[in-house]
Order: sequence, then C-alpha cells, then structure tokens
Amino acid sequence: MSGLYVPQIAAIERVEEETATEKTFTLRPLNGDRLSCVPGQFILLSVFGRGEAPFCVGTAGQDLPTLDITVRRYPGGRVTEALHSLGPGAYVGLRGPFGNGFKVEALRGRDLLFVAGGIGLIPVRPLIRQVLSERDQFGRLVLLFGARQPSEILYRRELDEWQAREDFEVQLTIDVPHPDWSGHVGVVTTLFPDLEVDPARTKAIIVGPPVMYPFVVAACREKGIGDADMIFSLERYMKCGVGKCGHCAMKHKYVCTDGPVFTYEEIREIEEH
Amino acid sequence: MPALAQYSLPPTRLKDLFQRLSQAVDQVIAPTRVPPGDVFYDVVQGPDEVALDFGNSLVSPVAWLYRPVEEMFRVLPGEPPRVEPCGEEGRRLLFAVRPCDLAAIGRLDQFFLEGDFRDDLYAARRARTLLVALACATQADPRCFCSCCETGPYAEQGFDLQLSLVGDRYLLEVGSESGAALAEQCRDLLEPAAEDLAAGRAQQVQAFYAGLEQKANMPAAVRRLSSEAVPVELWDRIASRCLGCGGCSFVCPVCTCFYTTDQVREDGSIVRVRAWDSCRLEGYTREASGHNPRAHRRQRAERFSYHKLAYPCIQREGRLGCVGCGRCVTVCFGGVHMPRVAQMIRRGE
Repeated sequence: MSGLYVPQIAAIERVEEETATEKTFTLRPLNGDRLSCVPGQFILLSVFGRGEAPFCVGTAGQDLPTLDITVRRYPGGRVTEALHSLGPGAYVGLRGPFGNGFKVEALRGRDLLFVAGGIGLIPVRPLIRQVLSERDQFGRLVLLFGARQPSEILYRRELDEWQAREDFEVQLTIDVPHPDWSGHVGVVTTLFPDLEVDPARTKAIIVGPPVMYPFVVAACREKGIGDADMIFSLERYMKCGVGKCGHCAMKHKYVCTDGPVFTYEEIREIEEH
Repeated sequence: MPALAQYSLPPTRLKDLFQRLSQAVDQVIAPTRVPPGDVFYDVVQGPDEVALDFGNSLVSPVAWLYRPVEEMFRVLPGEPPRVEPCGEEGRRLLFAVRPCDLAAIGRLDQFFLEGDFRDDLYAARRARTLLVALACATQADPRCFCSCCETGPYAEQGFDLQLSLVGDRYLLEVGSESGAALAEQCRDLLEPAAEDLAAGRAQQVQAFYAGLEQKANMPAAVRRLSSEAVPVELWDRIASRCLGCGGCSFVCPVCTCFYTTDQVREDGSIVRVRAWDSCRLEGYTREASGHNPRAHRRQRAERFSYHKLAYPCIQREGRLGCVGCGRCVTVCFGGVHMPRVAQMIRRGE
C-alpha cells in the first residue's frame, strides 16, 4: 500500500559501531526499490511499536540499493534506544529521503570550509565524499571538526584518510584536554584564528549543536565570509517530514520541506526570539 | 462566486429536507444537544436529534474531516512485517456547518491537499463528505468575531448547500455540482426563491454584527506583526497570562498540528495513530537530546500568533489563520484569546 505517511519495509543489512553511543545502520528496502539521495537529505525511520524519527542520510547518489544512517542513542529516546538494540536482519520502516539537501552545484569552483561539531559531521560527510569524488571541481578544502572528547570522534578511519590527503586540510580539536589526545584542544572556533581564507571564494558549510552556531557565525563574519555564503543544516523535532505536522516550522518555513539546508541569510529571516 | 441556484424552503419542511439529504449518504453529522445542554457535532439518526438554536459549538465540525485521533496504518508483525491500510468510511454529510468553520475547511483544503505533498488521509475523508452550511444571520454568539475575519455571517463559497433563515423562509443556495444533485433529489420540497430573500439576508448583516461583542482589527494586527514591530515584552505579557494548556489550538478549526504514536494492540499488531498536537505545549519542539528551541512560553505564544496572523504565513497558506469562530474566547482561562491578542499586537502593548 502507499500513502504519504506509510513507510516501506526495509531490512537492516549491517550495523557498525562508530563510538560508544553512535552506530551506523545500512538499510535495504525489501521490495528492491532503488533510492536517490542528495547529501544533506534525511529519512523518517520507524521502529514499529516505538515510533518514527528523522535521521540524516550518510550516503548520497542515484539508484542506490541501500542507504546508511548514523544514529546517536539517547537515553529515553524511544526510537534511538530501540534502533540500537536491533541487529542485521531486523525490519524497520523507511520514508523519504526528504528535504532539499546541499546544493552541490552552488559550491563548484569555490573554496569550501566545512565546520562540524560532534554528530554534525554525519550530514556533512556525504557532501565531503561527493566533493572529493569530483575534487578538481572545487578550490581549497578545509574541515574543522570538534568533538567533546577523543572517544566521541566519528568516522575515525575516514578522517585519517582525509587527513592523509594533500588536497584536503583537516583539523581536529576536542573541547577539553584528555590523556589520549595530543592534538588541538578547545572548541571548534579556537581553530579559526590561525585560519586564512579568501572570503570572496569561500563557502562555509556549518553543522553542529545549536550552541555552536552563534560562535561560528561570528568567527566566519570576522573572516569576511558573507551571510549568504554560510550554509547550515538545521535540525528540528519532526513527525511527518512533509510539511504537515507543524513541529519543525520556523516562522513561515518548514525545516523539513524548505530545508533542512539554509543559508545564514535565510535563517536570519526565520530566526525566532 | 455566486450560488449556482437558489431556492426557498418553508421552515416546516426543514425536517423533510433533512430526511431527504440523509438518504443520499451513509452517515449524517449534525449539531446535537448533549446534557447538560452543550452542542456537539455528532452522528445523528434523525431530524429530531438536530439542534439548530445555538451560537457555535465548542468543538468545530472540522473534527469530522481532520480527526482528533486517527489511525494511519497498521503493521502486522512477521518476517517480514506487513503494512495494511486502516478502515475506510462511507459517504458523509456534515449538516449545519457555520460559515466560519466552512472558511476553516477552505484553509485546511489548501494546507492538506495543495502543494508537493497531499495528505491522503484528509483527502479521502474530504472527498467523501458533503457540506451543508447554516448561515448565522439571525443568531449572533457574543464570543464570535467573524465580522473581523470576513468569514460570516453567511458563506460566499465552499459549501455544497447553504441554508439561511431570512424572515419566515429558508434561503437554500447551491454551491457545487454535488449540491445541485442533492437539491434535485429534494426538488418537490423546494420553491423558487423570491428575489428579495438574498437582499433580505444582506440587510441582516449590520444588526448581526452589532450583536458581536469581540472586536479584532485583524488587518492592523497583521501589518504590525508582519513588520516585526512587536516588542518582545508583549509576548512576555501574553505568556504571563497563558497557562500553556493548548486549549486554544485544540478548539481552533484552523490548527493542523499533529504528533504520531505507535499503539501495540492485543493481537500484536501495531497501529500508528496521529493525534492533534499544539505548539502551545512545552514538549512540542523538545528533541530527544533535551534541547528545546522553543523552551519558553513567550516563544510559543509568539509562534502561535505568528502562524495565524503574519503575512508570510497568510501568503503561504492562502488565508488568515483565524476565522473568528470565538472558540478560543470560550476556552482561554487567561483571557489571552485571539481578539485580545490581536488588540495587544495592534497597540504594541
């Protein structure tokens, strides 16, 4: 059966433990449907009997047989706790992908400054992967990634690969000193003072916890990056993903259908007090 | 849009008309009096159960198109699980819908049916429902303010049939093809409409408006709110009188927010249910992490008003988000209902 709110059944094909609190789930639609995904889009995932919740998709491309989501388990989070208890072979519900995603075309030819905090790296990763797959289409690439502590750094192996590249400047930081960490310490904006950017060429892609945003906006502005060149992926509580349930509305926009990707110029217009 | 046809009906034949309309559908929903005397729209079996001597019902008949609680689909466990649709309903007639509620249905139609995503649950029920409006021209509920929202006391469109009591006759207007088919089945009960019936109704309007006690200068409130000229302190003042009960949005015929939840039934099947939700409630925007972008009642008061009154929302959703039905006036314990809030916004204090 079909319907706006009716999920298709998908099987969990693979589960990968990323950290103590995050796992990546590979989902395969049971009916063999192929999926198309733009970086920055999200799905609504159902654990039947527990409920449905939105998660950003970690894979991008056309005609995909499976897609990945990386999910943090929150104590008391009905869906995330139940999902984390599931292993390969379990069945879940899948709707989407929904949302606008990142406009990759608008990034071509530009220097890209990725700023990610914690699980904000999840929606940024498929964009970085796409950019790297067409590396010559873009200018300089910089990633500033901050986590609270070393054990919370996602996608370690992939980050190592990125760091090993000469055409991608990757800087990691953790919030407070830790015995296992010899790298930079301080919140992600403490990486900004030593950063040189060409503001006219740069687009900043910024995803992280809400507390991070005002500081990163200030830091980007100080570098001369314009509000229209700062690109965010927002998160809001959502029940439908299709602009009906009302939960994710900000003024006259819906994060689910108008977003979740907005420029800071657009966000200024819909920001609430 | 002018009515497709007009007839005259003597009030003595109203019950016959009702019977005849009932035969065309599987179920009739009409205002009915429930002890100790409140009027609710509910399933009725015959014309004697219908109450027409009321101002407005506490719950809008919109609730029969967009259900307060409704089953979205059912999942039968198994390897793999199977998804099944939930029960269908037959053809329905909503009888004696007030023009304000009809205007609300117009906005719901646009919200649920237009745009990129069509809400098939609403669409299916809407397509099976006939609307018979009852104009208010002789009965002003003091809490109403349709005069400020241009939604009454009678409807210009959106109905299949509309009844208006004018003097000692009902004016029956046909507003759609389905309405024309209904009228055709009642043809022997109807008489040609005298020319002065519609004119007589128009003459009732000023006297009707004089009976309304609430006044809300909506255009001024819309202008002020849309120009971002409302001081933040105003929302604090409204919030200080708001109990956060969500009552205003649960009685508002224009409000459309919902949440969903999974119910595990005794037979092991799982039913996903959606139920009305309210942006006035603290948990509405709270995320699993505990972060809540609208943690303060002040922010929720602003959200509610902005969505209903601000121009960008009106533009997006087709009309003002208030139809002047007066229900929030009835339910708001703190007295910060729509006409009061619109006045506060207009004055900026």
